[in-house]
This record gives sequence, C-alpha cells and structure tokens, in this order.
Amino acid sequence: MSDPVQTAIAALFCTSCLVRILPAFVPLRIGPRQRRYLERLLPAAVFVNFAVYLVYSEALREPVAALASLAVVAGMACFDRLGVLATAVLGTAIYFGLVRGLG
Amino acid sequence: MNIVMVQPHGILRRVAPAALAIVPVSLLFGVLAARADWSPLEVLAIGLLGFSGSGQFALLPLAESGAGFATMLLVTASINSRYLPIAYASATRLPTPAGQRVCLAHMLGDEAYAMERPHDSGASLWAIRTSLFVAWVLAGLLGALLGHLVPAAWLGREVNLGYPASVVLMYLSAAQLRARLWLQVRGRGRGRGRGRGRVLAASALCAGLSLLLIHLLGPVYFWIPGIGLASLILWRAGL
Repeated sequence: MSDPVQTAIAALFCTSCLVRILPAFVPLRIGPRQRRYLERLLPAAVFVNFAVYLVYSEALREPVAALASLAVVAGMACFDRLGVLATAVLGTAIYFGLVRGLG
Repeated sequence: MNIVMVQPHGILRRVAPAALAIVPVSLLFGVLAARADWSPLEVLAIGLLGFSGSGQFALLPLAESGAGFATMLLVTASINSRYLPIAYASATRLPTPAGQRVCLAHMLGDEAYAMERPHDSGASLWAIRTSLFVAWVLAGLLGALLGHLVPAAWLGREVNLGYPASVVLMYLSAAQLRARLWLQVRGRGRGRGRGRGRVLAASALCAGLSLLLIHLLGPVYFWIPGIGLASLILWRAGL
C-alpha cells in the first residue's frame, strides 16, 4: 500500500471511531446549539472549502472547461435536477468536450 | 418495550432499495480510486475500515495532493460529524456485548439510520446494517477491479483521469450546502428572502476567504484555517 493511501485509510478509520463508535460507549448530552454546529455548520464549512478547492485545482489545468463543467454540476445539484451519476456523466462529458474542442 | 422480531423477507424488502441505490456510487468510487492508482486491496480496506461515501470521495484528491493525516482527519471528521447525533440517538438500540456494539456502530450509515425503527431488535439491526455495509464494500471492490481492467494505453497520457472524482465531489458539496443551509431557511415572503440573502452572502464570503487562503498558504495547508474561518462566519451569520 502507498503511504498517502494508508494515511487516508487510517484517517477515515479514526473518523469512524470518533463519530460512530465512541458515541455508542460514551453517554453525552448534546445541546441544541452544539447539535446545530455539528450537524449543519461544520459540514457546511467543509463543503464550501471543498467546492473552492475543486474549482481552484481543476481551473489551474483547464480553466474554461473546468469552470463551465463545475458550474453546470453545482447548478444541477442546487436545483436537484439529476442524480449524482447522471450529473457526473454530464459534467465529465462537458469537460472533455470543451478540452477537446478548445484544444 | 415492544421488540420487533426479525423476518428475513421483511428486512430484505426494507433494505433492498437502499442497497441497490448505494451500489452505483460505491462502484464509481472503486473505478475512480483504481484510476488514481489505488489497488483493489486498498479500495477494499477503505470500504471496510472507513465506510463513508462522501469521506471516501473526499480523500481521493487529498491523498493525491499529499495532504497529511491531521488534514485528512479534520476534513473527514467534519464531513461525517453528522453521525455524532445519529450515533447517540441510535446507541440505545445496540446490543450490550462490546464487540457487537463496536461492529454495529461502525456500520451505521445514513440509509441504515433512515430505515431503522425504534423497536427494531438487535438481529434486525444486524440484518439492515450488514446488508448495506456488504453491498457498499463489495461494490467498491468490483469498481476497483473494473477500473484496473481498462488498459492505461487506451487513455492518453494527458487525460485528466481524476476529473470525474472532482465532478462527484462538487455535486456532493453543492447538494450538502443546499440541504444544510439553503433548505434550512424558515419563514415566508420577505423574511425568507432575507434569510436566503444571508446564506448567499455568508457562503460567498466563506468561498472568497478560502480562495485567498489557498493562494496564501497553498492547497495543502489552507484546510484547517479555511474550515475554521468558514464555520465561524456561518455561525456569526446566524445560519
């Protein structure tokens, strides 16, 4: 196994221990404010950063194709138009179509 | 307390639609991981030990960019933090023996939680969670094997093979933001409009600051301050 992949597997296993296994053994009471933070705000903060990271890293390679494709994908998800698989096919087709067309 | 006894056909009928729905997603993960040079054994291991859709997809680009353990843990723990309240809420249904408790807790997923009923027996929980877990893990492995079947020579050297993973992650990110921020705005008329305006303004500010942090710190080290700043902004915006 390669090092980065081992690290990824270890990180996800530790995550499962923290968020799924530990709560089964440690009785804690979560207040509504903490619950709101854990359920909504912290994941939302991660996903905002993810979206920016994806746009940044893909736009460095193919700016026009990546921006157009990712904008369509985000729009589809926001308007709940297609499922993840159909959108993945559409977004990938737009990207490679534009890369080929513009290149 | 009324305990509902296991009826295999009944449980199967309950689980089958969700199990079928997660198979293509896990299959896709396996294919993309294989294209990113993950071996079938690695895909099997992350499915067994990680068992997290968005967490697994999120780790593909992070592993490729050489992100460290702390960054990966922060990102995946934040994405999966929604399990904390779900795990607490469903802990009372778990059997008492520690080994069984650990296994069942680890196999908790959104679909299982949505499908379980308060009076389900321990055996029902085993049937539901194991079915979904096995479907996820095996589909990922199958995807990895399929991904390795496509000869590298068929693809040009400059083809961006990681792009489909970025597309899936963008979809998941946008869908999660819609569910956690946009759809949570209550009220009607102007009040709702103001609430949605606040969501858009706060999200745009978070995105702008993340971009600035990537520019200043680079795409490996921006994560922790980026997530910290964004959660602070969303909190202060009263979302």
